[in-house]
Parts: sequence; structure tokens; C-alpha cells
Amino acid sequence: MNRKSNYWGTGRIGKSILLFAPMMMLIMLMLLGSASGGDAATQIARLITIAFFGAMFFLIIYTGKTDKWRAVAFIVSALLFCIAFIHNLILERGSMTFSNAEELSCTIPFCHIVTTMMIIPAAVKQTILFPGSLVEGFASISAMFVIVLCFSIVLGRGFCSWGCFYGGWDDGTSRILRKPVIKKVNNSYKWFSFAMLIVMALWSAEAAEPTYCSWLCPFKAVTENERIVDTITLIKNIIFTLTFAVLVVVLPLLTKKRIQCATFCPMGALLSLFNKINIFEVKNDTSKCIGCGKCEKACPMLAIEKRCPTLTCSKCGKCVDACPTGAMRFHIKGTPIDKHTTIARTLFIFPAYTFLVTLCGGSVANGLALIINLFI
Amino acid sequence: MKKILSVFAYIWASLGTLTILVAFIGMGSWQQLSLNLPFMRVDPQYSGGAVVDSVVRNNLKISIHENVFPGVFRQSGNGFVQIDVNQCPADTIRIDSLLINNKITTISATPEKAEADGFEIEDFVKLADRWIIRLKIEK
Ligand code: SF4
Ligand code: SF4
Repeated sequence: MNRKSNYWGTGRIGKSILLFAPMMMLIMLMLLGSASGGDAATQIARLITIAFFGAMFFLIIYTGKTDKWRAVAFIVSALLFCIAFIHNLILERGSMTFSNAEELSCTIPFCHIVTTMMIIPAAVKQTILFPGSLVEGFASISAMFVIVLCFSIVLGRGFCSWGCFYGGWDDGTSRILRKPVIKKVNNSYKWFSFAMLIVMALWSAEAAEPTYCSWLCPFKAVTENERIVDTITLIKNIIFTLTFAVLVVVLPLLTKKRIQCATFCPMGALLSLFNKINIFEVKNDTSKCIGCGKCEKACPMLAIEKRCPTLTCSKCGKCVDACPTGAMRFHIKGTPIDKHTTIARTLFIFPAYTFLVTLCGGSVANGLALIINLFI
Repeated sequence: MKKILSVFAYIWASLGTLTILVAFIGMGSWQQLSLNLPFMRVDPQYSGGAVVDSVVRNNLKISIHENVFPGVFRQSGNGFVQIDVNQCPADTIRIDSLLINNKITTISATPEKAEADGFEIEDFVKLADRWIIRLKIEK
């Protein structure tokens, strides 16, 4: 069976353009709709961003390869997001570090991973245990609440491969080597992230602080961290650097798996639970499966067991691309597995890609503008 | 039955893009709506809690917040009272006769440090528009 024939539009310019045109309109709406003016670098950056996201989407449709082009857009988004984020912090507070002043004025940006530590205080004490702003400013609590709620319902854990501005880091490092140095990683390590979820939720409630943010988050190293004023803050910063180096760089590099996301991030575990109520899934049409195991080897999230994606699947499509028979495919729950593969894939890719562009598009354009400004 | 389920699933799936667009385009309204949720308030441990008294001394507006004892399952025995000085004085300020946690105190502060009679200072930060002083209290 030729797996390429699975998708309508694959290899056909005309049909691909038909699917691409509405997405291109959405990309332009999202990136031009909210922004106007700016200097030459900003405008050039905006045009490049539109062209870039448009091109990646076209390639997803035209080549029939989902993961390959998604990953390019996802990784570039993560890198440029961090550049734009740090620049924003420097503009607003003069530094990428924060101190008591930012905590007491409640101006720390709220990231989606904090959600995992807010559940118990929100239920027990009916407060948000985080020094962020409710509405104003960049990454406010209410904006993140709306984003996390809507998108986890629409995409389930697809969030982790199509939107999370951190996930692109270990997705990127896990692709640097052609072959893994550590060949076998036990799939059951993925359940550690659920332990992290439970421990972080309880520890945060008991300690009355968002403990993962305060002590463990690898992405502090590339976004915002606590100013070193004493031994405790020094230790925290050493931990942030170590978790980043080990979980986001070294282990993904050696294993070709997204170790941070697959085994450590408590938000990943929470989002996996949303896969249960999510309409989209990646599924194996076992009647076409020849049991070659290429899907399991390819899966960066350690999600495939006995040839079938499990709860922690992030819908990246890597196993779908790797499957030689087209057995592994995007699927809409409640519909026949052997029919309408193009419809299922298209109906998933549209919201997923829209999410990526809307969440990261602005930061990509801003990050790019900063880089362009360095040269002109 | 299977066919109906199937059609329903496709319809549901098609709503995905729409949901994302509606969420982003109407973000301002959704944010406002979410503020009505019962848990949508920053914990007093960070916000300082509700303002219980406001006084004007030497042309400075002083806001005194409620007593805060951090904790989720159980409150800590050690807490704080936050006092906001709603201007940024250039040099020393002295605020007499403030009633904090049933004690009368005097607070003095310079841009470098703050002191209060009978209380230890937990935090003192200077923001662009106000100074925040937190006094340690015990239950
Ligand atoms: S696992 Fe965590 S860091 Fe990784 S993509 Fe998901 S939410 Fe982001
Ligand atoms: S099962 Fe497939 S789609 Fe899901 S995370 Fe693994 S490779 Fe990606």
C-alpha cells in the first residue's frame, strides 16, 4: 500500500492550494489583524513570518508529511518566542530576572505549566497562588486560563506538539543526531510525569508556592529566572540550569526522545488527561499494521505501546510519517478508522496549526524583527 | 446509529478551528468573563489581601491591608501586614500612629530601608508608583 495516497492533495499542487488557501487567510488575519505600523524591520519580520507559516502549512499538505514541517514551525516558534520574551522583559523591567518587587507587584508572566500547581489552591482556598496579574499585561492569568481551557479541549495533548512555546526546545534537540546514542528508553518512564503532576500539585499547596516554578522548571534557564541575591536563589538557578541541560539538551540529544516533555513536565500529564475527552486521536488501523515497530521507535513521547498510541500521545504525527503502510493515522473518535483519512487529518491540522500561529506568531515576528534589527 | 454518531463526530471536529478563532478574537471578553469565576483572585500572600484602612499622613496616602497568614491546607502562624505608600517619596517618610494587628506603631522609611516600632520588616520594595512595606506578624 502506498501510504502517500492516504491524503487528498498529497503531491498535487492544485488540491494542496485548495486546502492551503483558507489557512493562509487565517494566518494573515491572525498576524496582520492585531498588528499595524511598526518600523521597517517589524514589517519585514511580519511578512517573513506569514510566508514562513504559510510555507510550512503548504508543505504539510503537499508532502503528506505532518511531523517534518510541523516540527520546523514548532522549533522556530520556540526559539524566537524565547528571544522575544526575554527582550520584552528587558524592555519592561530592565532584566530577564525578577525580584521581590515583581512578586509583590504581581507582574510575573503566568505560563500554562503553572496551571498544574493552581488546581488545589483554587479548589480549597479559591485563590490563584501565583504573583501574576489577573488581566493586565503580558501573559495574564485570565488570558492563560482561557488559552489552556479552550485549547486543551480542542486539541487534548496536541497542545504539546502544536502550541507550547517550550516544547519546541526538546523537540529540536531530539532531532540533532541522526541516530540515538542511547538506543532504548523504557516507555513506562512517561508515567513519571503523572507522578510529577501529583507531587507538584500537593507540594505547591502544602508549601503555598508554585514549587515547580520556584525550584525545578528547566525553561527558567531560557525565559525568566529569579535574581541571585543569596544562597537559596543561587541554588535555584543552578537547578534550573541543570534541569535544562540534562532534560532539554543532553538526554533528548542522546535518546532522540523529548525527555523533558515525555517524562518530567507536569503540564504534559495534565494535558494527557484531556486526550480522554478530545475528539482527535492518532490511531493504528491494525488491519494494515505489519508490526514493523517503526512507529514506536519514532515516537518522541514514549507514547506507543504494543503498536498503539496511548494517553500521552501529543499528536505530532511522527509515527504517522514513519509508518510504511499508512496504518498509523489521524482519526476522529466515533468514525470508521478505515475511511476519510484526509478529512480526519485536515480537521485536526487546521485547529492545531491555527493554534500554533495565533499563540506563537506574534512572538516569532517580534523575535525576527529583533534579529533583523541587528543587521540593518 | 453508527452513522449518526459519525456525522456528529465530524461536526464536533469541525468546530475546532472555529473555537480557536473565537477564543483568540474574543480574548478580551473571555478574560472579563473568567473573572467571575470564584477562584479568580490572586492569593493575598502575593497581592497583600484586601485593603482594610486608608489614612493620609504628611500628604501621603497609606493603604493598610488585612492580616495575611499564608497557607492552603492550614494557615502558617507567621504572617504579614502589607502597607502601601501610594507615592514615591524622595527621602525619609515617617508615618505615626498606625494601628497594625492591634498595636500602635510608627513606620519610618528611606529609599534604602524601612523600620517599624515593635515589628520586624518582612519585605520592603520600591515600585515606580508606590512603596510596599510588609510587617511580620504572628498569630
Ligand atoms: S510537556 Fe510541558 S513543556 Fe512539553 S510541550 Fe507539553 S506543556 Fe510544554
Ligand atoms: S504516538 Fe505518534 S503522534 Fe502520538 S506522540 Fe507518539 S509519534 Fe507523535
